[in-house]
Parts: sequence; structure tokens; C-alpha cells
Amino acid sequence: MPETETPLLLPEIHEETSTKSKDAQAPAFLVIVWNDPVNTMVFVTHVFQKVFGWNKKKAEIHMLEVHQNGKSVVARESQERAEAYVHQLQAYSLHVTMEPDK
Amino acid sequence: MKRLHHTEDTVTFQINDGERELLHFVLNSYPMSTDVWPATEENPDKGPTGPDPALLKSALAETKQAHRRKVAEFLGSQPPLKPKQKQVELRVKHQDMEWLLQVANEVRVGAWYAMGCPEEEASELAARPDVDYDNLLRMEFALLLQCVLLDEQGAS
Repeated sequence: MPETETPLLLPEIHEETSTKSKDAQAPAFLVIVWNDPVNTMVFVTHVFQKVFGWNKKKAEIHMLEVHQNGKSVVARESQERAEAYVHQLQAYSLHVTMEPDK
Repeated sequence: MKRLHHTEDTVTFQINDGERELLHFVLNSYPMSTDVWPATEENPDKGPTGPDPALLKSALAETKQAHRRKVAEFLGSQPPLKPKQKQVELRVKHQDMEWLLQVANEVRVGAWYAMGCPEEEASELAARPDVDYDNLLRMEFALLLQCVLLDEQGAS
């Protein structure tokens, strides 16, 4: 049996520097819905269900938080996704902002 | 506004001539919001609107342009009111419910903003000597339309 020869081409070995995805490293943004005296509670609940796909109970919890505390953080997402949520909520004329999660 | 019947893709309401006139008045007011919310106790500086407010503003403007075109198509597709006719059908496709809700609420919020963001109920506003009846009408009929559409979707 011939001896095992050293192959001419060795597999390239890359040092693993990080296991985190690009998204996980990107700064997160909070999407905040603010209370206002014009949008009805039923409407806000409906919008949360439509935009976030939440069930009625979860949507009502966030709606009540907006109503009672003046605001509710409805999402913590990458900048791109947070902007998409802000756009959708603004299309329903809710008072919504986003800010970096410190 | 009374629900008559529904098929797989359309809900048909019966509206009277006055409601039809108000429907056109409200939907033709779209868009009217300024997209600026008044400062509140909780959010005195109105809050940051994100790292790229211009992008969000232009995206919203595009959505509103598309909705404006849909409003014209929607009103144009409705059965006409013939002379001396007091009742007419209003046909709403299920797929149109959501943007119609957005349009109705935008007019409601815009009318409220144009009235100076009052906190009073409609009945109190109506009693004010300086009331802006056009915007009060917009607010109230938009709310009625919103309630009908939400009810149809089983939200209330």
C-alpha cells in the first residue's frame, strides 16, 4: 500500500470571528404608539391586529397601555423593519414614532 | 346606512341620498391630515420620527396618492342615484375594507386637526358658537363609516 501523500491543495481554514448575524449586530429600534384623543379604542385594537397579526387580547393590552400610560412600545426591530411598521401605522393615522433602543 | 347582503367578495349596504352625499363629501376630502401630531403631555417634543423622517414622509405620500386614486375609482364604480331616488346601494369589496378604513380615519384625524385638536365630544363641539360644521361633519361621518366597516369585519 502506498503511503498517504500530503495533498497539494489543502482546504482553506477560516477563523470564525463571530456567530452573530448581521441583523443581530445592527442597532435595534423601538416603535412607539402614542395616545391621542381622536382615534377610538376599537380602531386602534383593529390596527394592531392587522399590522402585527396579534390576537384580539394582545392587541387590546397594547391599546389599553397606550390609553392609560400615554404610549406603548409595540415593536423592537431592526431599522428597516421598524420603519416598515411606522409606515403601516402612519397609514392608519396613528401617532407613531421610532427611536433607537438604548 | 343599512347592511343588505353580502357575497363572497362584496358587501352591499343601503344608504339614503343624504348619506350618499356625505360619503362623497368625506371621501373626496382625502387626504387632509398634516401628518404632524400636536405635542402632548407625554410626548412634549412630538418625539423623534426615526433616523430618516424624509423617507417615511415620502412613503406615506405615495400611499396617500394611491389611496386617492382608489377613492375616485371606488366612488365612480358605485350605482348612480337616479332623479327622485331616495335610497341607493353602496357596494364594498372585502379587499377594499382596509384602505377604506385608512381613508376614513385619515379624514377624521385631519378634520380634528383642522378644528384645532379639540378634546370635547361631538355634541359639545356642535354647541360651540365658533364650530366648524364642515369639519365636524367630516369627523362624525368618517366615524360612522369606520364603525360600519369595523363591525363588518367583526372588530367591535
